[in-house]
Amino acid sequence: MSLTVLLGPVGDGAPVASELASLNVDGPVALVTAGWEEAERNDAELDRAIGGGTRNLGLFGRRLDIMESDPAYAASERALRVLVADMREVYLVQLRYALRAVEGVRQHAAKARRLAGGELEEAIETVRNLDERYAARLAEAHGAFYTAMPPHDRPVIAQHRAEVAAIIAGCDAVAVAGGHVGVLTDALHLCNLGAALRGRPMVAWSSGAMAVAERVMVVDDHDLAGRPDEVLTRGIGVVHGVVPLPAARDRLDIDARNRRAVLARRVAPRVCVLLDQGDRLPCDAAGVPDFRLARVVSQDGAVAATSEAA
Amino acid sequence: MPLVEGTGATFLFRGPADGVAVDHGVVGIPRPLPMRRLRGTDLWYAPVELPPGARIEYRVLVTHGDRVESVLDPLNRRQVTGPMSQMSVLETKGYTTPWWAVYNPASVPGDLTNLTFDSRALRREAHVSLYLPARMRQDDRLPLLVLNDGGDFIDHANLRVVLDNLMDSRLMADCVVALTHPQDRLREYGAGAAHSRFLTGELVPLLERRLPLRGEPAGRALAGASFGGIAALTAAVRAPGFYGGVLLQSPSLLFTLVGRGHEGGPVWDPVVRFTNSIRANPQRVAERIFVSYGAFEQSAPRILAMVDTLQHMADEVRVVESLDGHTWTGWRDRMLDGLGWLFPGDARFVYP
Repeated sequence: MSLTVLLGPVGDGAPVASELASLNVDGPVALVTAGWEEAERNDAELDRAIGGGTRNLGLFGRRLDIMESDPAYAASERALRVLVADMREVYLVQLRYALRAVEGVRQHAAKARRLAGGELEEAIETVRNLDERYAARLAEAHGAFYTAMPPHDRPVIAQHRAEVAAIIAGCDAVAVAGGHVGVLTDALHLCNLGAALRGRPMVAWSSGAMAVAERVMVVDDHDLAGRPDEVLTRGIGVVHGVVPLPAARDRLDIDARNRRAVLARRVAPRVCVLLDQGDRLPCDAAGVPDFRLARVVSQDGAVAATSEAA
Repeated sequence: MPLVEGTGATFLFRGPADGVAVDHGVVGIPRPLPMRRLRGTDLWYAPVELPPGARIEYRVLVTHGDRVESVLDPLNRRQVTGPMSQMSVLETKGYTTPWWAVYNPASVPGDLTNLTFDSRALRREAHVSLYLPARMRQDDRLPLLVLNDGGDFIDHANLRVVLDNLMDSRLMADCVVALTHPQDRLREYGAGAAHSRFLTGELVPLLERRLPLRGEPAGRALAGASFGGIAALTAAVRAPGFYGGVLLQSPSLLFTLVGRGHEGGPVWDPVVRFTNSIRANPQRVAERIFVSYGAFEQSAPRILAMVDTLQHMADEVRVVESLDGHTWTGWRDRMLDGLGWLFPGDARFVYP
């Protein structure tokens, strides 16, 4: 039976209500709107759509409070951000050239009217290695940070975590809204939502869907600065084996099938799932998705249900 | 008043005159463009072919005997201001003012403050306007953009609104913008060493001490239009690697291929020497150089001829053309292309 549902953008929030109903949730719902940043508390419309009585966890506000109340932690976290920003700059440079190489190999093969096959796989493997190494460096940097600054030993953080866990314990489900995926993911980690959400009914949409996966992958074919698709950060890992791609109609170039194919092969064995308005991806209690009705990007760049894409 | 139909437009003027013409800066159309009188009337007209999405600025020249009067088109309410004059505006089908160039009360505005200090390099008191983004906090590490001709960009390119909207919508990163105001513009901006020393040795270090800035090449960019572009590029060349980005809009890159003669006056001599020198020996100066120019401006071929040189001066060069002339509005319209590329914002991380 499904315990978690990932959605695309939900407009006024009505789809969230019907998903909660399908999960047999009739008690209070804990809201996460940290991705809305300063507008975190502007949740009246969403509250109404869900049926009222929601309890906003206020994770963005809690994060601000922690940074203000614990200057040592804030300074250390700022240093981590600088380190990660520097690492990301190098990663993006590496990615840009590695992806050009992939395209170069593909075009070379196309001119020679043959399938690129192994050479293309090698080029994609280079990109995959960059992703994996960057993800590992991120984990290492965060690991070092948490070793130096164990959050559970910081009284302010421990208090906020306890309050959040108590609110969630008093609710029947959690709803995780979209917004800024980086800000949202940071807030989820800081308040230890990964542990608090396991085994609880949850509906997450847009960047909420990205943040609850294992890895946050940002894809934008129309990026002004021409930045490549990138691993942004680690998610809280409540669902597994999937790379949610919300607002795909806006973010992905419909004609760029080759780019989608590279993306699908790059993130394998994880599976890219498009989440536009109306799309849904149910997951079981262990966080394993049921891809049967999902729009999955197959290894050749086509979008189909899993059975067709295999 | 121009009538716009399909790919054509017809300038119209009504009134007694011995001759009427359109004064404009569009290469490919006679300058000035004489208008013809409809026989038996005082209605004057001149048809032109223009591509969709084009925008041109013009004035009407009305001749009475020996006297030629330059006037705004009395039948056209579309006008813009520049540092020296007002101009009438013709926009063909497909041109739209970018939404981010229009005041939006929902965009949280940044602060504009003034900074004054004695500049040894300029040997005068330097006035700099500082745009501080609305979300700036003391623990930030923001990028810094230094933009020459800051006052004109604010007055004639609606820069404050542009920055408010681009940063509020996260199409560009929150950044501090230092707007310089020249005193003797052509001398200070004309490839001279003093202005470069002012920027690199005085202004940027001062701001990096006082404000929460990144203080590293990737977090510094120089920008300017026309002669202001020359001043930006000169400073970057004199401090290779100090600035990560350079934004040049219709830069006045005048050079000579044969001999030393050029069509500019003496004030252009240092510019020609500078441009010739970088053409002869281009060195890497920055990570990124953004260039925009107006397709209709006379200097467009010269700017395009410089792209190869610029490509030797940066890891990446992006060139964007406007269907416009050498105009403040044209430069405004390319701000998103340039600033969104040099200092990309977080819009891509925000999902509804």
